[in-house]
Amino acid sequence: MRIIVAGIGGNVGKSTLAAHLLVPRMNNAKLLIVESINQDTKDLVDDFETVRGEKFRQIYLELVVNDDLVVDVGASNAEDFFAGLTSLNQGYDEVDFFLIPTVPGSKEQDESILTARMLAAMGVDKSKIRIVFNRVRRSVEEEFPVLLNAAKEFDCFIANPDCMVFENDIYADLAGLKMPLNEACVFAENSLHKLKTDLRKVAKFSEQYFRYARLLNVAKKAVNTSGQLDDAFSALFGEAEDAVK
Amino acid sequence: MAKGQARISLHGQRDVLIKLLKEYVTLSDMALVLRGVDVHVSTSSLYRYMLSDLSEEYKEYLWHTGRGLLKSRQGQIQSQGRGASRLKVTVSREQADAKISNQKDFNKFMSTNR
Repeated sequence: MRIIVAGIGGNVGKSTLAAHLLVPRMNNAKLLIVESINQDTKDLVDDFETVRGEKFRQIYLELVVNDDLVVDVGASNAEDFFAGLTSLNQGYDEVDFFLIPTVPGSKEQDESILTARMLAAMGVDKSKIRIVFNRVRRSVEEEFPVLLNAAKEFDCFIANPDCMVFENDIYADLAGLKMPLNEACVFAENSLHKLKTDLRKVAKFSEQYFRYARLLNVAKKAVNTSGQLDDAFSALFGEAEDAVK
Repeated sequence: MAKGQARISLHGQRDVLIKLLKEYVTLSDMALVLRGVDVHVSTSSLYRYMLSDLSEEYKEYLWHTGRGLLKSRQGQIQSQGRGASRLKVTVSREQADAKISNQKDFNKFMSTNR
């Protein structure tokens, strides 16, 4: 699958979702980072490349030559990227899905809706434009009324409330530790007892203590978080995976 | 109305107010709803009650809706001329349906909708 994670607004978790939700569930797909500011996710994947949004020719080439590719379009490059998309005739034809993350907050939801509408206006099929509800605290219905209403009104994109990722501080800790989630799951299984012992030993040394405290948080949450992401991925692309099988 | 009377009246409607906050109803609309149950309070009294007695719920309501933020108010001022609602996304279904087939269309779409 080739998936573009994009949105004209920033700080909705595009890079986090690309690195933790998509890449590990797509045969460790190559991550193409179309971004000039946020480079954190580089440390979390094996195969990545960075490119500027105006180099759409190169991006399109990557879409053609890769079977599995995640393109993470940072907000700072989004307009250049979409302008590039319109410079080709059906520049989206190699893309299986456009994933648009959104978070609670009316501004962010408005921007996600606008992104979806824009793609639909470019001719992208409704079934290819999918919303993922990110940083959910309680429930999608309660926190995203604006977006759910717009999905009904415009009927040009898919907003399935099951495609959701809960608010979770593990992502910040994983980024700080430069540790992918699957590595954290292995770490949790093999090293939790030793970690607790070590944490007691370094309790007096603030810098080490901080790192070990982060590791403990990651170790205790990794497995559950991974399960939640599995569910979100199935809800997002389950039917596409079934079609491939 | 005697000082404190509004707060006393509103205290009996606490559960209703929490429900209305969760539905993101505006304070002025809440005041209208309350009139239906014979509670007559001004929007400013309601606002003060939110701050004093339902501060957590109100804070969350503001966080979700973006109401009261300077950037939200500027958005409203800009959209008033076009007769738009709070949500820019509901402004122009016709514009959403206009096809974007080249960069000029894209630029037009962005300048119209942002």
